[in-house]
Amino acid sequence: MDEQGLIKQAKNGDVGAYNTLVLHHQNAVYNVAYRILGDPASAADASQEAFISAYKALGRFRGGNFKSWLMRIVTNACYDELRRVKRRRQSSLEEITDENESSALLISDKGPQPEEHQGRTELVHAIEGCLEGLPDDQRVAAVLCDVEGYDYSEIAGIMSVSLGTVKSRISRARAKLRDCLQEFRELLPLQYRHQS
Amino acid sequence: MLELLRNLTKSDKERRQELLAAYLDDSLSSRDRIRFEQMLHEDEELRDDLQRQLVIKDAVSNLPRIRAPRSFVLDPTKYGRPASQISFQLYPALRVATVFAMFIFIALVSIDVFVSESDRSSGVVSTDMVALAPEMAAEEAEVSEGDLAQDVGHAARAVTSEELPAEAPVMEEAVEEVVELEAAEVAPYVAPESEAAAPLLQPSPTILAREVAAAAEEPASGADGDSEFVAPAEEESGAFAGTVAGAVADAAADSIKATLASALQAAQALAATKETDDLAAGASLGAAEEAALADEAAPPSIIADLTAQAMAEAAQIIEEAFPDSELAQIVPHDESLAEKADAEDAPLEAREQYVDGPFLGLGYLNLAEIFLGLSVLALILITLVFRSRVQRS
Repeated sequence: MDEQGLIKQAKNGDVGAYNTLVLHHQNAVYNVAYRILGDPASAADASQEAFISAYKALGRFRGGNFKSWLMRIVTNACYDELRRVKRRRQSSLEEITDENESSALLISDKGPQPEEHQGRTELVHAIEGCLEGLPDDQRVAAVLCDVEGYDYSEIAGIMSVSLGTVKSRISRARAKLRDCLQEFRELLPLQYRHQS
Repeated sequence: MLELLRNLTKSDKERRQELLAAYLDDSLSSRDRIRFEQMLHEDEELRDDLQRQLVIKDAVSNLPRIRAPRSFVLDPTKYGRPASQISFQLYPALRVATVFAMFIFIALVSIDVFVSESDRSSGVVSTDMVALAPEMAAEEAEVSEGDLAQDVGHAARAVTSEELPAEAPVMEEAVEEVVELEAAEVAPYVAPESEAAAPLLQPSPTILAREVAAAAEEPASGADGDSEFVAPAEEESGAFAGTVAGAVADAAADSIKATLASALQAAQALAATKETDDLAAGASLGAAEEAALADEAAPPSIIADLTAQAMAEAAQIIEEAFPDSELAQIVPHDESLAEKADAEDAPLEAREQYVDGPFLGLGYLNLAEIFLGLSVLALILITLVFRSRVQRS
């Protein structure tokens, strides 16, 4: 895929070219939105909003990493969504996990054994629960770093903060996750349990 | 700066946690990495913490990837060409322009304030202030027109002996004589009633009428009584000077020539009485000089010329009338001296009146600085609008 060519066409008003870019990046965008928001419907709304905003602001894009630029937009859209959710007071971990069980489609589902699947699902729920408990800024940093694999400088660019702030947020997020996951030690690998 | 402060306030535990996280994410510099590995080697607890963090990082990283529940493609019928981003292109330039304009403004005002302070301390008057002086003098004269009419009326009443002491009938008679004599001399220039003349008055410095009126009252109240001939003479002088004030004030409405003629004629009449003293002659001479300055519309050079001419003529008259008077000797016969004196007086008066006061209540700002200040404000507002648009999008 000639990403730069598609971007150029999209800047000239070729919505088809832009849609090609959308299809290429939509899973990553949705995944980040989902990990930050924890709610499939909110994540879908934030993703759609991010793609619309990105198209409108395409004239601002001056080269570089298009995906990182897109992530910055979706992160901002997630912050907006979080503010809306907090206002509506609809944020409920139980609702999120229930809905997640019924609607989320796992891309990397390789069909494990029933016992393994149950244990893994519980661990996923535990991690998601702990992620949910993090402050927004720390959660975004942790998702971008650990889930999406961005390095610190990229995260600093996406979140529009300094490198030191990124380091601090990630380290605090990990410390809180560690403390939170102490309650789910039995779900974690033996290596973790022996050291605790 | 904020980063430095934050690092200073961090505890050792926080620093260790950050190093640990950065080590896990391979974000340490080679030097820090070596140092941290050294710490790991020495600290078993740190090693355990590292292992736990590694497990957590792996667990979070291995969270299942979620497929997008629907397609987020845009409807081509709803979306046209992306809008051009003029705001984003102009915003950086606007920011630079705003900062630049602000620096120029601050520098200009600072320099202006510094120069003004230097001028004040060294006695130099800025050309702006001198240029503004005639206009502002005209404004002041308009405002004080009523005061002038009052002063002239006051002087006239003094002449008609309304305010003369009742116990001085001899003085009253003397005054009446002088008034009659003077009225005949200056009749073409003096209105019958000073109050009636007020609307006809042109703007002229209030100080003129006040000084002459003061000169008119001074001799009347200043008689020491040592000689019975002194008091009448001083009364005559005072009354005469008061009449001169009225004549000067009224004549200023016509032209500077008429004013000078009036003043000089008054001086001649004064000389004719031969019973006056230096003080009254000085008042008359001052009246001639002030009369020359009365026409504020005239250029300073013309005022200086006319003043010198008036003083020379007045001095000549006084010299003829009072050969032994000291006054004639102190009158500057040299016209260049008179010009110099006038040239020095004009800016000094302007300075006294206008340099000390702030212009338009804005300190030392002149029009250019006010314009630049407003431009800076406009730039700041436009930049803020652009900034909000950039942030919103």
